[in-house]
Amino acid sequence: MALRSVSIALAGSGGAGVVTAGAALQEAAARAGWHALMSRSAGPQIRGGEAAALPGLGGTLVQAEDELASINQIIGASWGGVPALTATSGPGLSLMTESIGLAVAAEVPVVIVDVMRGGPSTGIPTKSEQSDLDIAIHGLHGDAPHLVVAPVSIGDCLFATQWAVALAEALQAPAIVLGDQRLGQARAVIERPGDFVFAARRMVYEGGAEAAAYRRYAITASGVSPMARPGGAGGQYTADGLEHDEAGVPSSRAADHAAQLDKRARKLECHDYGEHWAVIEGEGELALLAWGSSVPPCREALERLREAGKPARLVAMRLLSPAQPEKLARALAGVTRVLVVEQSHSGQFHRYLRGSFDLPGEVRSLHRPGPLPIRPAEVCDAVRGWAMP
Amino acid sequence: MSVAAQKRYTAKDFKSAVKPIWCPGCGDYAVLNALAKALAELGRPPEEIAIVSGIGCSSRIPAYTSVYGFHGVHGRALPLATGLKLARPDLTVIVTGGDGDGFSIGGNHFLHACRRNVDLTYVVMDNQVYGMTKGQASPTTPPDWEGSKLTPEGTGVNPFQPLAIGLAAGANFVARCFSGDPNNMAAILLEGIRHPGFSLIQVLSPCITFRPEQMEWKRVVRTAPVDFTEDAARAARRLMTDDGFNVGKVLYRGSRPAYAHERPARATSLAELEREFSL
Repeated sequence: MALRSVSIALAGSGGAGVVTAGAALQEAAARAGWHALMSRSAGPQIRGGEAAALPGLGGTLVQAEDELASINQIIGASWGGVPALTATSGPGLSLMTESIGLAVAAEVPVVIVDVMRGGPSTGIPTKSEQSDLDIAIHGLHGDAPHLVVAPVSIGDCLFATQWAVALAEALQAPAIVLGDQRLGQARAVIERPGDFVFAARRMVYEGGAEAAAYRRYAITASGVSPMARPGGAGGQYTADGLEHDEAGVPSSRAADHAAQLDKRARKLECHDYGEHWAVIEGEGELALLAWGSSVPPCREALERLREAGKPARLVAMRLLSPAQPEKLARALAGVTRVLVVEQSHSGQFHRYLRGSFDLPGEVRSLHRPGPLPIRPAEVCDAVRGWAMP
Repeated sequence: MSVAAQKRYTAKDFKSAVKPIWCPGCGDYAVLNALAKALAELGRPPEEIAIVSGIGCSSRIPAYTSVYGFHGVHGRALPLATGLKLARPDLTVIVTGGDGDGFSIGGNHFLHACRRNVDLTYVVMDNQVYGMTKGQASPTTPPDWEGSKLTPEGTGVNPFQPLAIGLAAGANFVARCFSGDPNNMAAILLEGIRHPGFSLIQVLSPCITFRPEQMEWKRVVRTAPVDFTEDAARAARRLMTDDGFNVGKVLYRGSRPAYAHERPARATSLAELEREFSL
């Protein structure tokens, strides 16, 4: 089947203006061969950003009626064989979560970009905050393994989003990309990004076997099983949000449930995420651990600390979930002090790290809500007076 | 058309070996049979057809067929099918479900699917009850139905009028049929599938377990006295004045073209788009 190039995009209401990161996101989409985008929101991701830029190469545009529709539209498009993405902001992510779970259960690759703003509820539209980390990682009901990726700078929106598309496609799972207003609506001058090529691809069932022999959810060593594309003879199956057996037939048997839960978890656990999981800079026994738009102020603080004779290293996590505790342990080898930096009132990132990783030495948490940005001076203040060995 | 498409199919070619979970006497068995018959007459091979559904007894249909199926979450079959059809216009996409799935939790999508007019066929098996959850009033249940423990005095709420609302929202093809007449149903399903744009087909499909009084439907339904109209105002008047039991005919055929919002390209390559960002 020749894939038709369609951009199915959704434009929300909102103001005008060119948005560097929004445009970067759209380009990442096109570069990743991602052809379908649906969204419905008036959040920061759409105001003058990608909505205007996305269908640059032509295609079909559909404005969804709500986020429940946009997430299901991209699930339908992707299930049909066309990689698909939608973008939203916090409340929209809340609306989408049930169907993101459907993409987990039915094993349909989709990408959801959440450009975060202050919450809960309508919160502070549209000012920056990093407080959707909890829902992005833990917000789906049931045991629902999925990917959470965050760009570490405006320029990185291109790489991180394209990587998220590649991971979603390869692992047949939903990926949430967490940006925030500071990334999504700021302008920056960046070097022309190189061309990224990811080996990861969707494993497509090419047919050949008897129809009765094809098992969409076959238990495999990697957890990934070939995905038939509608139109392909012999691949017919029913994708299902109900628990199912290997053939996709609904099943409430304990053995099927355990086998499919294991399969879906194994896909993400077995994958080699390589070096892209984080950006690591500098050296020292003090480490700054941050993600998303908290990274640039940490980077500047790193400079100031170096000038003050306090060398430190920065670990900017791009892959937030699944957790990579061994990789982080290696990145923090020799570290005796860790400062966790984030823009959330309750310290969501710090709590997540405490629950899923081992942090060495003494750990401090610098966390506070938006909308005011974390400043490099705050980071420097947080480590001031911290006795260095 | 492929060589395979010229093969002559029978209804059996469109059924799977999976045994339905439905109660004996459920109207949905006949809908499954009529759908399989309609697809055989359509003549496309099973792999070129997709059936998308939400949650409920009738939403189990995809797995009972031999075509590609997607059994999604409650109320979201229409947007899922919309995304599929826009991404893959080469496929025949059919949406199946019940009155609760389509008109309660999925009500907003129903309105927008009608007005958007993507080339889909939406078959709603209406039994005026939530059967899978053991008998609660649905949006199409009469206000004085006292059969539910949840609303023993009735809901007191007027029923949703799916066809009148669908017509007002812009559905391009509107029909009502009865599961007790499978041949007529198959003919109407086929007509709906062939009609461009959004086709809405309400099937009166009794739930004799939780609405045993619906066994009377076979005596109550009558063949609609007039043929279809292309005049939406006339169709609306007929729908607003009938008692819901005029079946077996197409009520309205519209001529709106199916949704296609082609966006002109402003660049022919990514490199060209990238140049827009350079300083």
